[in-house]
Amino acid sequence: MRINLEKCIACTECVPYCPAGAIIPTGNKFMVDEDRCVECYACLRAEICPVNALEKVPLDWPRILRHAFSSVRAVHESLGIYGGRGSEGMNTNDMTGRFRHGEAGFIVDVGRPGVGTTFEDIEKISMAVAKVGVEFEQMNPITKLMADKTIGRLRDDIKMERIRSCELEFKAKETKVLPIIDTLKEVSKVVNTVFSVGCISRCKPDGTIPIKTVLDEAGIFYRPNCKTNIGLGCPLAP
Amino acid sequence: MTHTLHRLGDAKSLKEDYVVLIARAQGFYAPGRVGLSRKFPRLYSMIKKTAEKLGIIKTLGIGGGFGVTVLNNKDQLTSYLKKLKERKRKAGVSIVVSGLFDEVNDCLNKLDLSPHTVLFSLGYFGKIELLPRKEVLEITTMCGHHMISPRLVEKLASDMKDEKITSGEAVRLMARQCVCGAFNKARACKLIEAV
Repeated sequence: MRINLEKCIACTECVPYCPAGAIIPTGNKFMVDEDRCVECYACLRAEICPVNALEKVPLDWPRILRHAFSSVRAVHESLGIYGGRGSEGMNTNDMTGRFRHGEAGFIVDVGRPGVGTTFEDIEKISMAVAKVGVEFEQMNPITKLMADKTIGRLRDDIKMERIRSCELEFKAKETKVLPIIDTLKEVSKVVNTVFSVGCISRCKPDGTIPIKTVLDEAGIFYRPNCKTNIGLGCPLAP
Repeated sequence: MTHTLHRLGDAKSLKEDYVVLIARAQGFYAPGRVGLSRKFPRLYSMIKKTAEKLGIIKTLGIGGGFGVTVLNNKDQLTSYLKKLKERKRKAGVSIVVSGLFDEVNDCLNKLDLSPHTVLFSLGYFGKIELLPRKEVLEITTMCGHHMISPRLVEKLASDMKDEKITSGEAVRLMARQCVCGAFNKARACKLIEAV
């Protein structure tokens, strides 16, 4: 995004609408800080500028990734992923069987809530968990941007791009839940952002939730609110 | 829609906040199963009508193969899930509920349903000092993509205190930034009074 300085009347109406805090003063006008702007177009969607000074700019690679990961309606066409920032995850697990008995899934929302992140920080997390031995989700744009999936290394040409958030998705055997959480705690000390962690568990037929038991026994905090797939889909996989 | 997992709030407030997601699986619409794909819009239309009949607040279109409904209490949730269970067809649709686990589980028990898969929130990691204050975060986390800026919440709360706008107007201005429709306006109206 940019602000057309010939049109800007410095009314400041747009300033609070930018989720990245990228609209800053310049002289007696306002401008978009290109480094902080994640091309989410929230300012434009607000339709708040009285003189239409907010303008889109053409986005080339790798800057276009900012838009792809930050605009809610963007699709990852170049990566072959449509709709959403990640896979269907546990949403359709009753049909896909993506997470089976004995497995645990993780969704690490890097940059959330509301802080934003760079691919450099995302890579710190992906490389850390890769060492524990995880399987990265194939239908995820971050996985598609990995130069080496075995070690979680991302492409070099995207590292400094800033985005609103992304989902790092992976799964492992249930026995690795605690080592993965320990790893996430360690890497949280060296990233310049925040991340939200979700842990997925396939329930047993008797209603038991294996991961809940693991978390309870280890004294690991989890919130009272969660997401529950209620099992009304018809299975595609056993 | 992973983001509805990380809505922040105390138990009393979260008892008034449930999000029901209907999602279709990509694999269900693979070549050779095309006929089933036509059922999704029909099923969504049925779900939308069900929600409207029950007086439920908001439903979103079927873009991306997802539909979202925001509910304000457990009774609404139970009625809605009951209708969905009764009308459910083999149309390749999963139903996921975001909300307090004990409350959701109680609804499921009443309907003779049980959780298939659960996603727990382990909270925030990293530089949490970068986060806005809790009262603001409780509102902004209801827009999971975080298109509602904390600065906007602070400004609108300030405008309310100066009696320039009402809480309803403030929430309307916030809600229009939330593209996915998971923002709970009724809850936001209560929360913004505390900002």
